Amino acid sequence: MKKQNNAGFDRPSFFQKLLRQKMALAGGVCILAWLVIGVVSFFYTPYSPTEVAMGDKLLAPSMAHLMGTDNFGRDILSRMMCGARISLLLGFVAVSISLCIGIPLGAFSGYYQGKLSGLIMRVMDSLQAFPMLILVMSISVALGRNSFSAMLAVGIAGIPNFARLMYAQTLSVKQSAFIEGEHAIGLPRRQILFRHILPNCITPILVRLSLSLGSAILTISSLSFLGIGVQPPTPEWGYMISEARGYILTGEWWMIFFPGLAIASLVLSFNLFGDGLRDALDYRIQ
Amino acid sequence: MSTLLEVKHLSKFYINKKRIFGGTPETVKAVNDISFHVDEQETLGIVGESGCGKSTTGRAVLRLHEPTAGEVLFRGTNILDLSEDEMRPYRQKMQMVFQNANSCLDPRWTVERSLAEPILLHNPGIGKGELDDKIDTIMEEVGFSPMYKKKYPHEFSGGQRQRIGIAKAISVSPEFVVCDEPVSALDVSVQAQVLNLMKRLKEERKLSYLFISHDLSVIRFISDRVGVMYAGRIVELAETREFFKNALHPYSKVLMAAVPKPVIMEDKNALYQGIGKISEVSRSGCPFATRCPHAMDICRQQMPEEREAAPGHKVMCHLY
Repeated sequence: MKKQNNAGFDRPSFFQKLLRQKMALAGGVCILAWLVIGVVSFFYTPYSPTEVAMGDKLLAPSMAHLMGTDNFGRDILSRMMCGARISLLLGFVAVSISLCIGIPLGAFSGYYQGKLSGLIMRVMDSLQAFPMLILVMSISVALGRNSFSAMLAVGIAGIPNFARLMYAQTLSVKQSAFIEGEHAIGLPRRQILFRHILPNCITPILVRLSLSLGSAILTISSLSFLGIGVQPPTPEWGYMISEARGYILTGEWWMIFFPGLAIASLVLSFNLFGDGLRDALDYRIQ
Repeated sequence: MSTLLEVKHLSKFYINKKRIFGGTPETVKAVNDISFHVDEQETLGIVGESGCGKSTTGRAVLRLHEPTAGEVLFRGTNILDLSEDEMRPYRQKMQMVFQNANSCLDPRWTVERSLAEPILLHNPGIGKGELDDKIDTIMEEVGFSPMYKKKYPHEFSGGQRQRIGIAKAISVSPEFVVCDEPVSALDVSVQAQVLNLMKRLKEERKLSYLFISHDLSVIRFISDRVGVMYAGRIVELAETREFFKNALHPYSKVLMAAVPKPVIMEDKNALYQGIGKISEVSRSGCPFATRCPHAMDICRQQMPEEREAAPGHKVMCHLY
């Protein structure tokens, strides 16, 4: 009955639409949980994440050490908690770098087409011609082996993704019919760009943003696994997996299982959330 | 009645420069040296087949597509000389209604926001209350209850959306409106509704229209004068009554004969006889020469001058 009375004048808000997507909701909750864990790790961890206790090395999960200990006797749960904040922080900053540089480049090149924008897009193309991991590794090594340069490298390597997406979006929205109407009412070009073109490009960008977060975290972990990114003793999931390599066959499964699970769950959550976001942001779907 | 808009020798050529393998650049003469005028509170109908340049004419007049040559005088000022900023006050006076009303509505914006935008642009100091009143009045003027302003464009039907498009065009109180096939995308019953609305608004707001359509019955209903376009040129220009009684140009006659009528025309076939392919446009002579049943040698060699066959009835044809 209620629906009939308000037909067409009552529409679900963005959050109501997002809540209806069960998988996206699950992803969102999982991301939120990791964020909370990351914040908590600043104030509390069961044990010190970096203190070596050789007497307790390679203990299986128990009540004292819920996820067991590693080859230096450090509590894996504590290291996991600190790893969450490092992965999330590095991931967010890296994607922000790609976003903040890629979006203006793409929007500019798409809207004002000329020689300069052609040059920008060709540079983006050449960046994309490199295999992702090779590019990230070379930038990272060139800048020095630490977490900051790994983050910067992932950020730089991500720029073409956003620039190209934004470029394509701007081109397509610019061609769409209503922009001509804006010219007809005399709206200045800059205002057309900011008021009409950018907002109409935002949906795929947001979706891409959440997917990129997942892959940035994965890439940073890969770098740490290879020994280029986050340096020991800082606890990082990728590096934890790297250390655990030697202990898989000897039966100390907990060392590799928990960091692997963490990376998988966070990346999967971002992907699920991104999919849900797309549907929730579509103004045509109610 | 004084002249509101005068178009002199307007041309719009599209040059296809980019040829990878170095062929000669191709020039498409979409609008080729046309002149006409629109009086105050007058509707000039432009009719012609697809691709004859009628939409380009409408857009060139408003500088949505920059004309290649010619003059567009609005109350005596050549708007083609103006910069974008100088042009802005004239944009308020010259509006456009598009074939597809999606063309002027941002899909992410409510109707209210879309209508407020041009008003705010041209009246920067307007207060919130006054703006709301103005939007409500305009919504009512095009036949909506003001509460519909909270809706999004995709929640309207085609005819409703076209009325919103008209609302946006008249929201800044223009004097001259280019209507580019405003009813072609609508079904016939809705066409009548929109056309009546446009006719009413013209009376109430003292508007002048440049009304572009391919449909002769629509043109006959709305226009005071009719211009027939063919291959980028206006081949005949006359008062509506005179035109429908006494069309002179062979192309106008073919166009009239093509309208389905419940009466059997005597020698419709004779008109079509010898009509060639549409793509064949004579380069040097009359553009219609290749299709014209009355084509003479001179038609293929020389472009006919504009002649006044009767007072106010201009035609471009060697027959007259």
